[in-house]
Amino acid sequence: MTGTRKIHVLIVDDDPLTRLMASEALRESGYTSVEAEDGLRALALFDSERPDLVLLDVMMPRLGGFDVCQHLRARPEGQLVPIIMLTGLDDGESVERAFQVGATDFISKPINWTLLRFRIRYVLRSAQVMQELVRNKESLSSAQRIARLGSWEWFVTEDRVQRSAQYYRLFGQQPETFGERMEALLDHVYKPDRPMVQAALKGAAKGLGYQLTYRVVWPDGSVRTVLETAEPAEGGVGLLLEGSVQDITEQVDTQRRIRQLAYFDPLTGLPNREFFRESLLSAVARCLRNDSRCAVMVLDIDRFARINDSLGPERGDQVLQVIGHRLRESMGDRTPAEPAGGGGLPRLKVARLAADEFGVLVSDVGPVDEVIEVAYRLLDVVRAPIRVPGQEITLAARVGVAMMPEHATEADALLKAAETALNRAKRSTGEQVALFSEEMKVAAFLRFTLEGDLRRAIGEEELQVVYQPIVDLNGPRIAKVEALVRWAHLARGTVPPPEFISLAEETGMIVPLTRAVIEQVCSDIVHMGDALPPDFRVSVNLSGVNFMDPQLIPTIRAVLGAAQVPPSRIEFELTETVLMRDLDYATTTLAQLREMDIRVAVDDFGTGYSSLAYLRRLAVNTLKIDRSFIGELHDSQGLAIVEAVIGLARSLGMDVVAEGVETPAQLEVLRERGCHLIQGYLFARPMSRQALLQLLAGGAAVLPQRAALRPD
Amino acid sequence: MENNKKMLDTASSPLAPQLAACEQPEVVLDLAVLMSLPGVSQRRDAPVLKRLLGIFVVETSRSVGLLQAALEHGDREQVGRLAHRMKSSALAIGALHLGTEARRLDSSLKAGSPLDPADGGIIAAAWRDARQALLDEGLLGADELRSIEASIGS
Repeated sequence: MTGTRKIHVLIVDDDPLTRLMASEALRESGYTSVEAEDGLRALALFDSERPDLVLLDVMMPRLGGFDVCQHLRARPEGQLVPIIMLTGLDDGESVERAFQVGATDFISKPINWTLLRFRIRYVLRSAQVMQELVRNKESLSSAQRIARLGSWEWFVTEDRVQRSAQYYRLFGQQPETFGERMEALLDHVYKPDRPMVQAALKGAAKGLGYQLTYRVVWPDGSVRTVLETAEPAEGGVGLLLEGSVQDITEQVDTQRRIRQLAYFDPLTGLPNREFFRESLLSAVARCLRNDSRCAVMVLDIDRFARINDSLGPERGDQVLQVIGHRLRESMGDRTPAEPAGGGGLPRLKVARLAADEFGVLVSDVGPVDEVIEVAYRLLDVVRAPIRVPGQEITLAARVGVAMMPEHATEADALLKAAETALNRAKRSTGEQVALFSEEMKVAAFLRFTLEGDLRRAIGEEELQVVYQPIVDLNGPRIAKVEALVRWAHLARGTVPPPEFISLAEETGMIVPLTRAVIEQVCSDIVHMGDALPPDFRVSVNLSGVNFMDPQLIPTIRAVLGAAQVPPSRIEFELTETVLMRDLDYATTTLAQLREMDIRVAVDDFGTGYSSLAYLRRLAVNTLKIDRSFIGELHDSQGLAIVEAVIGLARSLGMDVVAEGVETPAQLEVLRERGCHLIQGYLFARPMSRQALLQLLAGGAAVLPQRAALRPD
Repeated sequence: MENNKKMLDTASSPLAPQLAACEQPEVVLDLAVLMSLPGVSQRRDAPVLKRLLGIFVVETSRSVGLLQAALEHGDREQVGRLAHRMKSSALAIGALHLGTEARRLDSSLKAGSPLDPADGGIIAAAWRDARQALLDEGLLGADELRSIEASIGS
């Protein structure tokens, strides 16, 4: 029937005359035809030729027309083919029989050929409509199959249900095994969901529509999730409901996975910060509603980084898992790692907020003492020894506590308050549990405003780079300078560097801050130009955050390149703690810096984790003796340490710089021990670029403590 | 659709003269029927016409022979079948007299009437007339007819 292909007709008649006339008549109408002289031949030709229409004589030897018609209708591809039967002129019985066996139409003999042409056209057109209907029905059915959508109709009054074939498949059932009445559905519903479905059906029986997500159990025991929608329909007699059921297992699983990723910490399986925040939101709302109180505790493991460093990150992870488990147990938290079904977030108690920081939410608490008691109980739980293969370790922790409504009446503020209290506990030496206070709030507020101010100040005039000369006694001359950043806060005056540097490190602002410093240093180097001695370097401090920044090396290259400052003008200072955190990473990064001809100094040497092994391994050029040892040079122990460091540096072929040298006596001792690179107020305070230029121009002669120098 | 139906209704009217032919003395050969057969289109020289008539002559002369034999043998079923076929083909090409006789025989047998050996003669006579009419009209040559009949041994 389609497009350009000609309509193909099978003519079945034992009379050759009729066949010839019929084929001529069809040819004239633009059809093609094939002829069969008996019924058997007709069936064979039908299968091989796939005609669009059959002209079928009733009276034939062997297999009669009625039988042929029945045979054709029994074939899948014969169900819709139009069949026109050729009957006798006044043979009413045959006409009736023809329709019984499935003929589409009849025409009596002798055939009126004009009439035949019209009949053919007519039946072909109806067949086309029919086929389109069938195709629509089929595509609907396959659409339903693809969408895993089943449908049903419930004639409530008679409790009769018509369910689509796909409906049964959604339950892994056959029509015979499913059950007939509407209630039969319940047998296939996952038990915990049955009351819900039953209630929906009860309402439906009264004509109430519903939309419901529930789980069904397949005969093999597997559980799937379906979404069912039912609504009353316009029906004949009595109440009729129409419904559709869709399998949404995959969507639900995906949502659950997304939820798992979004709300749970993959390491400990505990709820994460986001989940904690949301739970806190509802807890706070509940408290306000019920006029009750709740508390938030934030617990931080002391020096957890050292566990990771000494035992390796995998063991560190195991330790966190143990702690997380213990905290949950202790708080009687039964929040499932993966909440079943729908519903809201279950009431959580313990969450992992950050690497080694856990949050605890206590609802409906009593007085403050009670909460503090809980905090100490948690500390005990952390303190209990943890066995890791090969050893037993003991941890300590600090807890910050904030309460609602005393300290805050909003979820975020409450959490923030607990974290502020925790910071206080961490900064103090003895306090293991700190309760939030108003004073903390003020300090925290100041810090907060300072944060905003610092963000604005970076790259502006408020932040200045100053230079403290490092004097080489063998000269004497200024061998290099250490670049230091000073913040002249517009409103608050000078902010002490430890305060804003630690703030910058905590907030990550240290990265842009350091970049701004390096840019300023480069600009100053260019500015000073030939005034700088050939091997003169400017030393810049890098924090741990800077050092771990993957963009560190590219940034340095970019900044130096842009300013056209040779790397041989630059030295970086890093503390040994930073270098020790990840030795492999440090080794690689320092090697890259050395390749660029940038030197590296170890700052505050002696205060941290001094290890000869790492000093050998790392491409370090200079050791800077921490000022605290210089201050103790009068003491024999202090002197011994300084001697040891100087000896170490010499044996490793490194330079050694003494920091914080303030007195001629200190200078004398250092000079005698062979430490000839001196930094400190004795010679020079940190100064501006202009002052440095003047100093360089004047040579050692302008050094203020010139008298103290006794060149050999 | 409505339009079609109308056409179907009017198209059925040409059946009327054929029905009327049952009661009146029939035309031996209705050229109007023959000339409006599919593929003929009023052309005496249409190739289809030759083929149709060829088949008609073969089929009918064979059927007439078989019918006479069946009547002699009292083979009612065979007589009925042959009469039915002859009726169809004769009426189809316009051999109305032969067709009507065959139809009468078919109907009377269906109505349960006994076999009448005289019918053999009646049918044979009607066939002869029809055959003669074809010759007279020049639709078939005498030679042609003979060779066709020879091929089926009648």
